[in-house]
Amino acid sequence: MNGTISITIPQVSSPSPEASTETSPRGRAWMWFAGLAAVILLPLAVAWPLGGLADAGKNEPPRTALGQKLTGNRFQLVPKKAAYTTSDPNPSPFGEPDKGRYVVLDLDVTNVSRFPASLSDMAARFAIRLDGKPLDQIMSIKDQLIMRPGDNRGSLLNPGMPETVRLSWEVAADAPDPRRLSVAVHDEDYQPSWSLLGYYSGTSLWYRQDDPRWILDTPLERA
Amino acid sequence: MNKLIALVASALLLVAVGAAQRLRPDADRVYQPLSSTGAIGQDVRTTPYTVRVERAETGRELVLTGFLDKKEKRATKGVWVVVHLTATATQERVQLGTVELQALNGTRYAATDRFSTLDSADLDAGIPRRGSIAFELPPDAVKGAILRITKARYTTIHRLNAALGPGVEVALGLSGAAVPTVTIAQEDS
Repeated sequence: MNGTISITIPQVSSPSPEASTETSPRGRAWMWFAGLAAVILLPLAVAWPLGGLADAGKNEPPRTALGQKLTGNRFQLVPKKAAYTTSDPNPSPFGEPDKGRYVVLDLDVTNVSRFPASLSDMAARFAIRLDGKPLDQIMSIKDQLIMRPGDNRGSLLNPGMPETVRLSWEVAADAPDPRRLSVAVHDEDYQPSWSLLGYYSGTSLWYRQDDPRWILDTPLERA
Repeated sequence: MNKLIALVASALLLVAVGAAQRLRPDADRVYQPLSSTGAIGQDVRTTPYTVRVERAETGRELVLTGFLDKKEKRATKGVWVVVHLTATATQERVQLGTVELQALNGTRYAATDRFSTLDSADLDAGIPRRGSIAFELPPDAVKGAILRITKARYTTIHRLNAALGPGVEVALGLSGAAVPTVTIAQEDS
């Protein structure tokens, strides 16, 4: 003993800031989950009361009638006459006219693009229904004609050159006489080409729009 | 100071990248035919054929002369442009292919398909063939129009000539003024 007194003072450690906010791993997981849920749910919570989650429905294309001008990206069309006839709409100057039942659509057409087009380019954008039933346009096609006095040859639609066009289809033998014609007209977009399969150059092509832009709905006159 | 220089250089590089993207030609330009150009009266040579445009004229009505000199009048809602030319295949039988007039604003007009003209005739190697090609187009598209011949059509072998193929371009020097009638002879082809 050397006469000194040793006193041990118990150390009172102040809590570190980290220790005070530290959460358990389970708590952290919950925080992440809650944050993620908030990020996902917040837009929905805002959109729902405003009607953003309601079914938008399919936009019905406008119904049009004969005489209305339909200006698309490639063609301007004015349907003039729709008729059902039992006489050949394009009789040959040689031989007997064809016998059958036909639906005929006459229209004024102007190519409003910057490139030449053919009549079949235009007709391929039509989906035809007779009395609500789809028509097989490939099998029932009768004629696609550019009508000029005394000269129905040719199928070229040059830009800015208005033409009178006659499209005709043969009615199936087992179908009743049609009363109503409906033509869903699809517009086109000129855009860079693409393909999911292999190489594509990216040069521009005309692409048919999925949904029709107009529906011509008209009774068929008897001719 | 170094940081400032780096920031400015980065900004300039970003602008340069954006400008390069903007100036990059689109696919339609990249893959367009490699055209040989010429003027009226000149031989314009390409791989499949040589073309010399002799003259071009504009008319409000067309007279088509056919078999046994039979004449037919053809009206139009625009004007007729008739291009008279001589074409010679270089190595093998070929057709001219796609024949168009290109207006000053870039709009293209195809040759008429209402009767046969030189565009659908067979050209034999080394034998010049004279003929004409007719176009219908709006009157305001005629002035400054260029004749474009692309996509040569080989009759013996199928070849793709659409992209980067040979082409001919000839400025026709048309004023836009139309005479009452122009005449063209129908090709037998």
